[in-house]
Amino acid sequence: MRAIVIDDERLARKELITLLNQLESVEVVGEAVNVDDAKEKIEQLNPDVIFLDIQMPEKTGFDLLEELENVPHVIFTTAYDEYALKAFQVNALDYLLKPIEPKRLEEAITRLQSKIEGYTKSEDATSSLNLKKLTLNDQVFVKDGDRCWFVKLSSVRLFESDGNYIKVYFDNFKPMIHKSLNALDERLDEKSFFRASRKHIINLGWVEGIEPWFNGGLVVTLKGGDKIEVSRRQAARFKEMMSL
Amino acid sequence: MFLMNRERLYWILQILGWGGFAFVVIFLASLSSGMSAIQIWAFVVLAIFNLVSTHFLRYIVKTYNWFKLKIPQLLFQSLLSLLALSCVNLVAQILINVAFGTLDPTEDFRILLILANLFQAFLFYAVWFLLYFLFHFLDNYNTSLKYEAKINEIRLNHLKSQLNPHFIFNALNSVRALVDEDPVKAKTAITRISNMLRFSLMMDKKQTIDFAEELNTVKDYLELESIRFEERLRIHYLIEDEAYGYKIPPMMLQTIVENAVKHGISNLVKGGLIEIKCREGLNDDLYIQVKNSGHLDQVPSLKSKGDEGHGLSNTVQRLKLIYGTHASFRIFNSGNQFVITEIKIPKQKVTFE
Repeated sequence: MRAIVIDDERLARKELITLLNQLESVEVVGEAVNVDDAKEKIEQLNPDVIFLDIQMPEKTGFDLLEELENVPHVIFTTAYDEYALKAFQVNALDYLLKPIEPKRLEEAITRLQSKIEGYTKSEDATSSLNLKKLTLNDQVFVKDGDRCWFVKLSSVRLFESDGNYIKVYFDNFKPMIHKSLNALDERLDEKSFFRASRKHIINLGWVEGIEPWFNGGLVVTLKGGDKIEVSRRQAARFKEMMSL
Repeated sequence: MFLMNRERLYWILQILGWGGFAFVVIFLASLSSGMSAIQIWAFVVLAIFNLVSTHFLRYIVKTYNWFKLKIPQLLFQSLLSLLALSCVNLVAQILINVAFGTLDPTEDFRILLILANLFQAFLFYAVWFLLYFLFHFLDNYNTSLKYEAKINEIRLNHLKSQLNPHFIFNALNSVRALVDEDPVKAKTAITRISNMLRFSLMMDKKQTIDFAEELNTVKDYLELESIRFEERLRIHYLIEDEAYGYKIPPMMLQTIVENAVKHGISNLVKGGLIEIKCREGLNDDLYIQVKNSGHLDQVPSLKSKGDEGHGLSNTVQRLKLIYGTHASFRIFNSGNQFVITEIKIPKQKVTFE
């Protein structure tokens, strides 16, 4: 497993790298001192996992996750950020408290390893391609005000464009991300996500009902009750995809 | 809200209680024998008398602060006053009957009936008295709980502001790395951390301490932070000798310097400068200035209870408590590069321990 350690303090990086070097399964391929540095190194080295400090000067660890196109697996490292950690509402994310206990580190690595193996079995191992599409198993980082989520794409039922933002619908939440729907559409796997109209991308796994609509369009009902109009142009494609 | 409406609540309960009393008595009497309008009025007047007399009792209880009495004393006094009040009530009943012409001398002056009436009056007053005290104690209990919670919250906040956990754990983490790299430096760092912990635990009880003692802690603190931040933190001291003749509130300079590091140095990729300047003013007062790299976008709220301004609002409160209006606090931008936090402390304290 290839790892990058991101922390603004040299000694903190050194300490973690020393600990990681004792583990056979991890190879530290780089270290970064701030968010911009980290972004560059992640894009260049394409690591499996990053160890990310939350409190860093000028931009925080959360800002980094927001800026990244492809988010690798993340293990947060923090000294005492009760508020930052509370920000995570939904998913159990992994974090290590500094000073890091070697045993806790090993456990986190083991957990991550089984998670990665789980993925590679269920999907074709095309992961080395840098421009791979986002599949249902991928996670996206979403931040809205003080709250953050790592959302598995399979639980996202709908993307809705709203000005320069996209609303991401999952569970009872719909936080906004700063992106265009077109850019997102290009990155999503077309087998799982469908561009219903100019405004909407739906998750096909969440489709519950389909009804005809005016002008040859369709209305799709998603599990949970959202109704989305499929434009006439896309309706034909949609029928094609959904039929045998 | 509850507190504000207590007076009103009292009157509502009084009127409802004695109104209910009159209603029930009239109702019962009309069941056993027919009632004239005059008799009904007599009962209404009696109820009004009861209301007035219990209000008088409340006045006595409040004026002489019976709530503070010891139980035996309270029992004795209340029994006596209830008895006295019952006698007055009896006389009032007779007078009311005279006034309404419903007195029947042969019937009403029988000793047994008088005793029964007296007992009845006593019973009503006793119930009233019990309810009044019960309500008061419940209410009191409630407010004292709230007070306790508030005090604890203040203590806890105070404690939190002394030991900044973010700092402690980061320091320990760097020391861990230092153990391999530079064992001697690591040992010194551990001593410094112990000094700081000891200081913050000991100083709790004192209102002010020697300037030198506080400055030593600040120096320990900044040394530890420079292990973390390395070349990103530059430190500069400008201390006049006169400063050592002053006493200052413990952890106050420390809190200000911590804020300077947190908002100044740790937010800057390239780091910056912390400068501590202490000089004596013209009127026997000490000016302490902490200058840090960075910029204030908005003046931090000194009153808010939020996490951010916490240390500072605490500082302002403490200065006010110890020195009244003789101390001052300000924080301002110095050019575009620096932020200055300044406190002024008089030589003489206003309050004494």
